[in-house]
Amino acid sequence: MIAMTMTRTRRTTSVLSVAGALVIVAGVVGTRGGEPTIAAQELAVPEGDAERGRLLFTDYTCFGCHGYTGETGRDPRLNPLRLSQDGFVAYFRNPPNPRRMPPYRQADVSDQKLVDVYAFLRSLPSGSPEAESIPVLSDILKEIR
Amino acid sequence: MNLEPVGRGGLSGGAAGARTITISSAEFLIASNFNVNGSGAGQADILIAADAQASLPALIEEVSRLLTDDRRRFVEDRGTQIASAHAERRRQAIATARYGWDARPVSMARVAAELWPLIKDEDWSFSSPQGFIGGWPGRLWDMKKSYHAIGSQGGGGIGYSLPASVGAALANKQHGRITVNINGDGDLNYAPGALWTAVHHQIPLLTVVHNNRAYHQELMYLQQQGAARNRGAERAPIGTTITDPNIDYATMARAYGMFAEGPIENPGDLGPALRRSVERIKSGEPALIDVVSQPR
Repeated sequence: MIAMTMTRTRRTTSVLSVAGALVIVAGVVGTRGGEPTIAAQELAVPEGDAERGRLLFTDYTCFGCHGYTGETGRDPRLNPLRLSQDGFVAYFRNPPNPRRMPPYRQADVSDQKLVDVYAFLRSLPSGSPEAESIPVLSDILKEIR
Repeated sequence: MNLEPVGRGGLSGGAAGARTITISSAEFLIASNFNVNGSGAGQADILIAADAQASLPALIEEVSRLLTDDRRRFVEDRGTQIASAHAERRRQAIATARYGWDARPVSMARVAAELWPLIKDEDWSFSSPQGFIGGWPGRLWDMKKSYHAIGSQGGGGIGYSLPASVGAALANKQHGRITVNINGDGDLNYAPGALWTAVHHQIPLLTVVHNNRAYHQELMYLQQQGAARNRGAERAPIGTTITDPNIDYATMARAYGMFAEGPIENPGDLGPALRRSVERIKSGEPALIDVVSQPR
């Protein structure tokens, strides 16, 4: 999974005096030993709004590669989401495979928007049925055995 | 000898030092306005313009006659390994197909999975490309015969699937074979008159519209390019999405006189609708099901 491909080398955290604010670590991804690494910088954003994130997920056509519920499509499943919020933001800024998933600048997609999308993905119900419990898939499994 | 199909990507190579012979009807298109052989043109030692399906049985028989016992065991072992690998890949596909099973829009994995039990005991043919539908028929279905996967367009353009499928289904009809076409919605709009042809000649073709309401390949490409060139991605849907209004493909098919159902948005409605449409094509007429679907 995406989260497993990232090695966090440096992370600074700070405590904000603004109530309700979160500290996220947006990253600059470099390469060390062939693995993407994240150098940290601190950004403070409010909590994500799942409904706004749902609209952004559509407007930015995230569904194109990941499906409307983050479960289908040609690219990694986002439901259930295995990235932390800071890892999610860092991934957008410096994805390890930009030919597949291009980097998105702060000017194009703000940290706030990314946190909203993150909140949306976290809000999605997760629990696709097991293949054995789906009759048509179960029958295909029996054909193979 | 290395017997290879020749496609747009050219020859795929083979054993070092092997001589390559191709047998393909693509050579009959040598005067067409596109290069059917792609980068592989001229790489074979012998290019034979012929019908591979008609030619191969005699060739296989001759090769089998010449096989030594050692080579025969080698071929059998390799066949066992390939069968095992294929079964494993099919198991993996099933494990993936369950994701988004109940999602709306309907997942393309579910479309293919629901179709399979309806056709697997028939003499069937799949006529359309699989690149834009997640490759699900090839991943889930047991494709054993050449006509189980007829292939893709030669030129990479759009508007291929429907007229090609009508032609394939016409050829299949004489063998009592049913044909299935999973057709992109943008693609379908390029030559919808072929729906009339299918009805007029009573050609048993099932068309399932993969209705993701977009020229989705272009949508994804523009989004990728917009982000890569720092132009933002918000405008990628302009000119690439097919909404406002949504197109009602079932009504469109009915206008051509074809049995049709849809738009199907509830995944639970998919299986019964497909069953009814397969019954239609088994009785010798074409049918269309419009499925509002996930992008891929």
